[in-house]
Formats: sequence, C-alpha cells, structure tokens
Amino acid sequence: MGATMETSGIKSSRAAILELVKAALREKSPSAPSALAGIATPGAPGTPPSIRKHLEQSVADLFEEVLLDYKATVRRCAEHQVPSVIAELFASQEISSAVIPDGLDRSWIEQIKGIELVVDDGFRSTGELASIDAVITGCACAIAETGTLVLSCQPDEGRRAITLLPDFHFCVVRSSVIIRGVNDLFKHVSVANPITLISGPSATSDIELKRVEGVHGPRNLFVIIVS
Amino acid sequence: MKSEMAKAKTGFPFTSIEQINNSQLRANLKSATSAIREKRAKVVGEKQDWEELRRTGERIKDEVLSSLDEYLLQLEESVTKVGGIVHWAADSSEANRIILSLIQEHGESEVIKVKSLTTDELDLNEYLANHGVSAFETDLAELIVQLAHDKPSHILVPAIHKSRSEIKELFENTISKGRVLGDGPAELAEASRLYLRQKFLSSKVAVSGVNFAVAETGTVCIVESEGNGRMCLTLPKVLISVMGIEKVLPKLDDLAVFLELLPRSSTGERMNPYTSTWTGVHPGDGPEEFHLVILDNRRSHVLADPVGRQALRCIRCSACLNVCPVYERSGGHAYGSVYPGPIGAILSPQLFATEASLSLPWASTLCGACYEVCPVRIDIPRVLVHLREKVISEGYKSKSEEASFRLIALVLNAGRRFDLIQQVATRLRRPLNRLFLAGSLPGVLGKWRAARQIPEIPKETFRMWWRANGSDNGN
Repeated sequence: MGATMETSGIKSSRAAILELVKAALREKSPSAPSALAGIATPGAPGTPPSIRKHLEQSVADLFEEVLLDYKATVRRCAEHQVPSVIAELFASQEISSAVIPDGLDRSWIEQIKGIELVVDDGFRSTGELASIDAVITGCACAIAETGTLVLSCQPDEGRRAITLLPDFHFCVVRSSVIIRGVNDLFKHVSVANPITLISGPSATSDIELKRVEGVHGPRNLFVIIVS
Repeated sequence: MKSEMAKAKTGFPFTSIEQINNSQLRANLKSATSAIREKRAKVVGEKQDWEELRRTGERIKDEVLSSLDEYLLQLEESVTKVGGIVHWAADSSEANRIILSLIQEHGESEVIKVKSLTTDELDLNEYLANHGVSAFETDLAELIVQLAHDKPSHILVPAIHKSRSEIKELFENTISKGRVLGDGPAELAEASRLYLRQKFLSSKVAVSGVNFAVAETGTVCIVESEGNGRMCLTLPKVLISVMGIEKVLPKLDDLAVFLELLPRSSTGERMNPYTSTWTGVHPGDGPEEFHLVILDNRRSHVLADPVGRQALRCIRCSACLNVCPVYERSGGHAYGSVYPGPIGAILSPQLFATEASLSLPWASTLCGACYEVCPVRIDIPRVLVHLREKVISEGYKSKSEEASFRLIALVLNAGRRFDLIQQVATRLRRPLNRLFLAGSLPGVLGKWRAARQIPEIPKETFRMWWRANGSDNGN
C-alpha cells in the first residue's frame, strides 16, 4: 500500500474518498444521447476542409514544414555535413559558450571555432548552466505531424536542465527516428526517464493573444535533419 | 437556504452587468476569442480523424470514471513504486494543510508555481500567504493577474481581459520598477523572463497542477508553452503536484490521445511548445522528492449524478469558452468562479453549490457550440438543462417565472389559442409597441424587459401571410 508514511488522519481521507467514489458509481449513466448530437459537421462555418497534403508528404518534409511554422531554424544535410552545418549556424549567432551531453558524437562539434565548450558531467550547478549560451544535443525520436522533438535523457540528449537554461538549442535529428503522428509515441520512447516534448521555441500568447517566441525556455531553436 | 434566486443580489444576472457595460473588455474578448477560434478550426481541420479522436477521448474518460476507485489505487501503487509519495485530500482545507506542511518541513518560505486551476480552486496562494509562505506564479498571465491582485478570467489565458498598455503600466510599477517599458508583447515577456529567472534558480520547492496521470506507470504529465513549467518541474529539490481525482488515465497510449486533443482544442496549435512527463523520482535529473496530492473536494459528489458526471471528463482546454456567445460578451469574471464559461456553468454549481453558482446553469443560450468543440464530447447543453431542473426542484423557484411559464404553456399548447393571441396583439400593436419599446413596465415585467431587446410586433404575422398567400403558390 502506498501511503504508509502518512498520519492516520490522512489515511482516513484516503478511505473516505474511495468510499465516496464507490458509492457515487452505484447509479449508472443513462444511455448516450443520439449519435448525431454534438458532431462537428464537416463544412460547418469555421471548419476548413481537411488537409490531405500531410498524408502524402514524407515524414522528413512534413517535420521540416511544421518546424518552420513554429519559427524554428531548419537545415537538411547528409551525415558527413553535420559538423560544417553546426559550425556555420554557430558562426551566424552571437554565441560564446556551449554545453554538450556526455554521449554526443564529438565529430559534430569539431569545426566550431572560438567557443568555450563544456561537457556536462551531471554535476554542474543550474546557475552555471544558466550562464552558458547554447546547447547541442541529439534526438532519439521526433514527431512529424506536430514538429516535435522527443527528448528522453538519452546519452546524447543529456539531463533536462541542459536543454532548458541555455538560450540556443541545436538539435540533430536523424530522419530515421522521425515518426508520423503522436498516436504511437509511447511505442517508441520509454517513460522510465523523464520525457520532454519540444515543439518550437518557448512561446507565450498571454498578452492579447499575440504569439511571442521565447519566454523562459530556449528562445532560439535550430534543428538539423540528417538524411 | 430556499429563497427566490431573483431576490438574492448575487449570481450571474448581477455579476455580468458591469462586465457587459465595459466596452474595452468586450473589445478585448471579441478579438481574442475570434482569433483563437480561427486557429483551432484550422488545426482541427487538419486531423482527418478528429471525430474519432474525440470519441476515443470520451470513451477513455468514461472508462476512468466508471472504475475511478480502482484506477486511483493503481495510480497510488505505481507512483509509490517509482519513488513518489501520495497524499489524499478530502477537501481544499486538507489539501492546503498538506502542501503547507510539506513546505514547512523543508524550512522554506517561498515556492514557485506552475499555472494550475486546481490550486486556484483551493485558494492556495492566499492560504500560504496567511501562513507566511509566498507563492510566486510563473506563468506570464498568472503573474500579471497576481501582480494586479486580480482574478483569472479565462482558463487558458487568465489575463485575457487586460490590454498591453495596462500590463506595461502594471510591470513598470512592480517587477520592472524604475524602468520604462515599451508595450510590445515581446518586451513585456522579456521583463517577466528577467524577473523570474532568479526565482527559478533559487527556489527549493515548486507546486504544480497535473494535466494527466497514468495509472499503469505512475507517469505524470504537464502541458505548457513558456518553459516556466519545465523550470518548476526540473530545477527545485521538491515538487508538489496537486490533481483532482478525475485526472487519472489508465494507460500510456491513452495519454497520446489527449496529447493530440488538448493542444489543438486549447491554444489552436498542432502541439504546445513544451510537454513534460516524469515517472517518480529520477536520480541526477530533477527533484529529489516528488509528492502527489490527490484531491476530491466534492468531485465524488459530481460523480454521483449520472447526468452531471460527464463534466468530470473535462481536460480544461477552454475551447468551449472561446465559442460561447455568452462568455464572449460577459467575460470570465461574471461567472464568479475559477471555472468560467460553459464548462464552468456546469462544473461550478456541482462542485461548489454556492447560491451564486446555482445561477450559472441559466448563463447560456443553449446554442450547443460548446458541445461541438468539446474534445471529450461533454454534452454541456444537456447538463445545463438537467441542472436547471435540479436547482428548481431543490426549491430555488421563482413564483413569477412559474406563473409566466404556465401562461406560456397555455398559449403554446393549442394552435387556436396562439392564433387568437397573435390576432389581438397585431391589432393592438401600436400601444403595445409603445409600451414595450419605450415605456417602463411595472414590477417583474419591467425587470424582465430591462434585460432584453424585444422585437416590434409586426403588422402581419406569418400565419396571416400564409392564409393570404400560401395556397396561391401551389403549396
């Protein structure tokens, strides 16, 4: 039983809640209303026709298109071009330091110049991580339809704080790991580790519903899709 | 207390008046709700299987509710197995006590918070403040509401009623004291980033709500946009998450269904920027201590109503607010509850049963738009009518309303009587129109008239026209 650490007072609330729930369920719900009620009618005002295009696109193309919609920067390249693409992206931004997870392919960062690079050993303080400009990670799973990077703390993805505190996130995604939709996400990743789904840069629409890219998480997202 | 609703100067008819007369508020609401309606319609239109997804969402939630006690026990076992500590709170005061004592055990007097309607329901911030603990909201809109000593007015965009110039002024007097800000949303968001960064790095305890909790694995999920959620879930040493009993899902694959339904219905995005899941405590990554507070607070009472219980399917997306003609004009404050809009109109009276909340089932035109957009197919109009019946049968009767409905039934039950009344009314239309449109009517009739726009009585009714022209057209 779960609540062994609790005081007897709290234990009795547990029993009371479970009892109330059981009692509440004695009466079954009446049969559902007519099947037609409440259906969002296709072609009703404000419902644009379904977009078929998505089903015909390759997952990598779709992934790129949706990412661009989120105002992420996307580059497509072959495996051997990754180091030069990363170096070029770094050069285009004002970045003076970067952190990488321990398991990152070191060849990817070989060509970056003039930058302080640190490898996360898992013990750097959050204050230290917050003072670093950029992070470079791999990615073990991505979702095309929603433009989502799925990070699950793999060796080349690192712990959660390193992709949260720096302001620039560079993520290398092999096209072989891109799945089409959200529906079978949990067949591809295990929840034994914490999972972070990232869909575009941090954003808010809290002021007059105007979207602003960049609040607390990385304000700049760069995705390199490797074919 | 059994009294005539109309006599108590509380409830939606009274609280909505001020809001409706605030033209700035109405303009803000209109542009915000129409923008988000369009975004939602676009991304929902992209999903060919949307209707199937909704039905799946409905089925999963109904399955959870039908064996809720078993799923809660399974969740408790799973969370405990992965290193979390589960607490049970029968009501808000018990939940508040549990949270406060956890904070005090760690010797802290400050906590950071992820936007959570459930903690709003508990009045947690006020309770903590009264016991010497400051709670800092970290969601931009919640921060705005907190700094302004205001109340949220929308589930998703709590500061929807505030314009950018109001927010600029607020920030200049609070978190950005001594600085002059522009009123661009980007600059205002930057001001909140600067202010909150230090809080994120120094706080030891975070309090959050829960979007979904998976019984089979003990996995908890939070859906957000700004990254303030990730900060709170990752950086502090202690994480306390509060969930209503209805937030549990059976399996991980069920979670995937809701990750499709929620963002498209809520912000009108294919996916929100950040979704986090954690499964207990993960050594070397994130909090060292995880507490899950499972809250009833009369949800079991809602569950006991076979018609009303479907309100517990709600995933707090706010799509129903954005399509509601009443919400668009009255705004969220008029509902006097942390749960405004159509879903609030069925949830608040069942959860809180206060005199004011019992007026909410009438705060609707029953147009049904809320049902059409609901990602878990809550038949809100049906529950509204059911609750109206329930409130009236529990003694909240208005004698004048009862009498007028009896009169209306008498007229509408027979075609001849209806015809007769129409003929009399068209003949007397001049004095009647003068009386209804310009004059002031006595008593109850006057009050009724004051809240409505009444069309003029025409010279000719449809029946009269039909008698003269209908048969000529070969019909």
